[in-house]
Amino acid sequence: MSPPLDLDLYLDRREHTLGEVRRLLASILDYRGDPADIDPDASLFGTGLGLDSLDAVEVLIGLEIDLGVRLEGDDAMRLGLRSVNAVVDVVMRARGELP
Amino acid sequence: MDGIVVTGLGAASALGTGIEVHREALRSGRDGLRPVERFDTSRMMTRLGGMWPGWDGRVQPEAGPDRDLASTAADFPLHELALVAAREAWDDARPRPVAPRRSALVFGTCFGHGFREFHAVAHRVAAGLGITGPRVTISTACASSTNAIGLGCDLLLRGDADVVVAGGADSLLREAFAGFSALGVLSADKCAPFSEPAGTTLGEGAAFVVLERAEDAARRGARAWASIHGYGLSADGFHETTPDPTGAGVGRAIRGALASAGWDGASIDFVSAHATGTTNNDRIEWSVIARELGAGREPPPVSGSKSQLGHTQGAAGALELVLCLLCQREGTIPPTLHFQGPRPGCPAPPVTTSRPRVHPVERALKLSAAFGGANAVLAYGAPEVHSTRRIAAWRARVAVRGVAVVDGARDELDLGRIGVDPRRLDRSARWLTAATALALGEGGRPLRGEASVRTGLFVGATRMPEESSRRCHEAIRLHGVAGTSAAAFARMSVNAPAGACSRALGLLGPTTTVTVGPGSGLLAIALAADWLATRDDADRLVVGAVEERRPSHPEDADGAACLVLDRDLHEPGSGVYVAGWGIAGPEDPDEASRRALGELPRADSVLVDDGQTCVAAARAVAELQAGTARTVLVLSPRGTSTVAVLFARGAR
Amino acid sequence: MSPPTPDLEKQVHGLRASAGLSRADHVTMLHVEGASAFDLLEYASTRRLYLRESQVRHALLLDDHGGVFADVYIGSGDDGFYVLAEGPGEAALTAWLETARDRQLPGASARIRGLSAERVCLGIDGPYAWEVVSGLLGPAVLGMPYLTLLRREEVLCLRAGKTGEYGYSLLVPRAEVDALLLRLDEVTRTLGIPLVPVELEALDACALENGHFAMRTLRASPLAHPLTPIELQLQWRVAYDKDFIGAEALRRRRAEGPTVRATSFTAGAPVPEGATLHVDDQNVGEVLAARFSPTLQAWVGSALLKRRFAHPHVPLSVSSDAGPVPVLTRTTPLVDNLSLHVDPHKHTFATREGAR
Repeated sequence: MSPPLDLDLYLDRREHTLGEVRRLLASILDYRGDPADIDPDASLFGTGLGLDSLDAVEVLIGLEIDLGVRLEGDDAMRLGLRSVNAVVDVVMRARGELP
Repeated sequence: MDGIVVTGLGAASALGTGIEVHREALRSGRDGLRPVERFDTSRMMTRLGGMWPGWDGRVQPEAGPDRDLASTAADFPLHELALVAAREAWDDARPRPVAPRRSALVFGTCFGHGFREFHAVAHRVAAGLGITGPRVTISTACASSTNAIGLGCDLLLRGDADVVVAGGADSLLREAFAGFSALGVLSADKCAPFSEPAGTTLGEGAAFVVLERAEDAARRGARAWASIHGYGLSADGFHETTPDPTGAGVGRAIRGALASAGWDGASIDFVSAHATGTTNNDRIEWSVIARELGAGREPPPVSGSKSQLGHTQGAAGALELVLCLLCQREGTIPPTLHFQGPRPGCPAPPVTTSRPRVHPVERALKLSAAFGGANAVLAYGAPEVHSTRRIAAWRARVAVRGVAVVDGARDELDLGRIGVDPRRLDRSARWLTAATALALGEGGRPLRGEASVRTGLFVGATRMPEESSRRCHEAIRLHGVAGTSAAAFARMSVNAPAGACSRALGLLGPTTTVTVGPGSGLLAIALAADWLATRDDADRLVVGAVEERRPSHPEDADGAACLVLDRDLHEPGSGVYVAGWGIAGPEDPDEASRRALGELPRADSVLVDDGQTCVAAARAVAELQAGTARTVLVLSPRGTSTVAVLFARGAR
Repeated sequence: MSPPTPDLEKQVHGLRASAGLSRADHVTMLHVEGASAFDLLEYASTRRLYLRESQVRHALLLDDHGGVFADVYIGSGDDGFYVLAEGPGEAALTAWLETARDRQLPGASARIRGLSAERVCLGIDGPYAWEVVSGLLGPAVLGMPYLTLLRREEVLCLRAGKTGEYGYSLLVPRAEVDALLLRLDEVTRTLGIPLVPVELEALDACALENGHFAMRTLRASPLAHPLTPIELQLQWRVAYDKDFIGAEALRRRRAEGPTVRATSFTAGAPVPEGATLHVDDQNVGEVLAARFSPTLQAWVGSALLKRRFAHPHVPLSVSSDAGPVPVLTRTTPLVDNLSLHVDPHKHTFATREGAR
């Protein structure tokens, strides 16, 4: 059985990781605004941030090189990248920080 | 009407060196695809490539903009490939000695010599053959040599030359391999057009054809391989690498080729498809072929020669055409190898077999669809097919409608404010798009409907876009090939800015990107004026030039300039127009000027284009508008061709 | 909240397994044309439109206080622009645009025309919606990128969708609706695709499952008034460096520091809309919308939470008549949509076993 959630610790780590992911996406998007304006539930592809297949490669490379997380497998990629929060989940899960 | 024929062929590829080797490879259904030995492909999607055996055992250095080593011909296979193929074509044709400066070379390449020296290769090949007239390089990625052959015919028809050697070459570069791998388009197996598995196999090679006017060839008793009847160009305006899913762009290029040849789609016997083997390309290309050429009948048979050669980039059009012509003389069409049943949406019966299929060809098309959305289609046929080529002879002059110059050093134009999405536009693309938007004068709004498909973009460029090129090489340098930025790779091809601009502003008409080194923009103006004067598939052509200054090269230009040309149909006699243009060999300003001036003894004013891309032309227009001269000749004497364009002011 | 009707479950399951047909009377259709048509729409829209021919943008129209007035698709057709809006009715939206035009672009030539008299809007959504629509309108449908328009004879087809599956809106001339429905019937029978009639409630349930915004979930809340794109996680549709109606108010809210954010959650028992949510004893927010999710077989909703807590995987509780209900915030989308696994160039409904 998993230990009781230390909510404060989790929320701190969540904000931190969300910031990292926002900055990565902002650089890929050539985002001229404040990365903090990127909605956590925004979709990555199609609707939302409107990334396409070329950007997807950048996201995967950025995740690996900047955030140290490698996504393998078709499903992992498809499901892992559906929204900003989904990407944050992937990173936190790799770091053992997801409840 | 004078036709053009092919009197010589030359080729070098993964199949080997020389026409005989290629003929044998066709008969035996052999491919040249094998594991790449020249560089490490262990971290890439595949190890397979189509390498030229002539380079086996030799290494090649890292390519890229940071190399300070003087780039010698021995570094990469490109020069050797091009020279051996060009020489063979020349020897095969054995043209009678032409008057000095009456021979020309048109050369297509995607990556140049280690991503550099795009125009210089043409120089070397020309020197190697003793060609003394114009030499032009076209760089529209995989459509380059198809476009080059078409342009070669234009030079003959215009009387700019009496013999033209046209074709293309590209060599396999590790970074390019990494780029395609990052894009996810490489097949783990040998390229299987229209079949499984999906994906392409990269290759390298060179091929050239010798072109002459039919009557000249007949007079000297030359045996022709084929006749060339016309070509079409178009822009997808859809995406950096993915083709327009509706196939409308390729459709326009096909119709352009048919129109320039004076042919009906129903008369086409055979299509040599682009057929890279990727799901997107093959499916879309097939649907367009069926739509454009299958009206009321079965579509013609289709071959995908990349299954034998690999995807040879800038050489693809010419190399695949050579295979077609070798077969055509024997009454067959080339095989499509590795075909084991059609992929969904792909043709089964029309795809040829693993050996050449007996099928006489009278009229055929060679299709090419490139990154950046540039499409080129060549209409060719059996040598005895008479030309019905329609050259429009407009009574109207080619008018200059708009001019804009964007200086890269000043604050960048805010594209967002004029309605263009700046996302994914690098510096070159931004400047070119801004200059185009300003020159068009429609507030930057994308063109729509008829205006959109009948407005094209001709660009003069000298190098790959600097920012994207650096970004791509930097990523590889820092992170290895696994860190290749697919986006930067897609944006670094020489024609990428033109592709981005056509997408941003909806310029879906004919497009090309040419280089002669300094003066490329002026050449683009000349070619655009010629296109408007002799064809009717475009009403307006934007002509642009763009350059990013390299570090430690203060002589480079930094910015973009554009002119808008159209036919002076509605306001005859007012404004500025293009009165003439001339293309001659290098360092031949007298000849180029003479051709541009036509009947005029001289121009009121002469401006020398010092390499500041199109800016001199803009100055000429300003001078004419100010009324200080009635005619201004703009001359560019420092490129691989000397280009002269005569601007004049109409009587008020 | 009312218990789910068995019919609703069938509709949602049917939509998510094959395709659902809806009559989109909740969608207001306008046509805007004239030399200043684009300028007007560009001014009204919260984001830059960058519309090439046949392109569609998903945008918002705000009121002067930064509250969401309409959820709109703005598309560029060959004869002007089409606006498909949820929120205001035809008269209200037309008046709103006319006011904007007269206020901001006096003398502008932009004609706004409601289309309800001429056309009916039908929706086809689902993992095989593309097969149905291409059977009806031809193979060109297969090549339509997401957020584009296509005109086939007199039918205007827009590819969008808010359910997380393939989605198409068909604007059909009134006189042709009956004939089209008959053809639709034939097509689906020939293809063997069950086309399930679905109501707005089912579409909204799907939207909630996928974390898509729906106008009908907007309710007044004391936590933030009005609810702006910031709280609603719709800033991806906003360009802060652009002028638009409500821009000032929105920038002010942003500068003040927004306090709450709409976040998706699931629960094992019914959750009342408007109820407060707690972490331990602390009041952290309020339920905006909640309903039973046939796909997840759980209750799903959206809650306005204090930003500190507005993240997924946070356990909360809400008081209901039946006692406290544990609630967990979630990452959207909550559903692994079948559409993600269906490739129109490889799969058909008939051969669907190979899809997943």
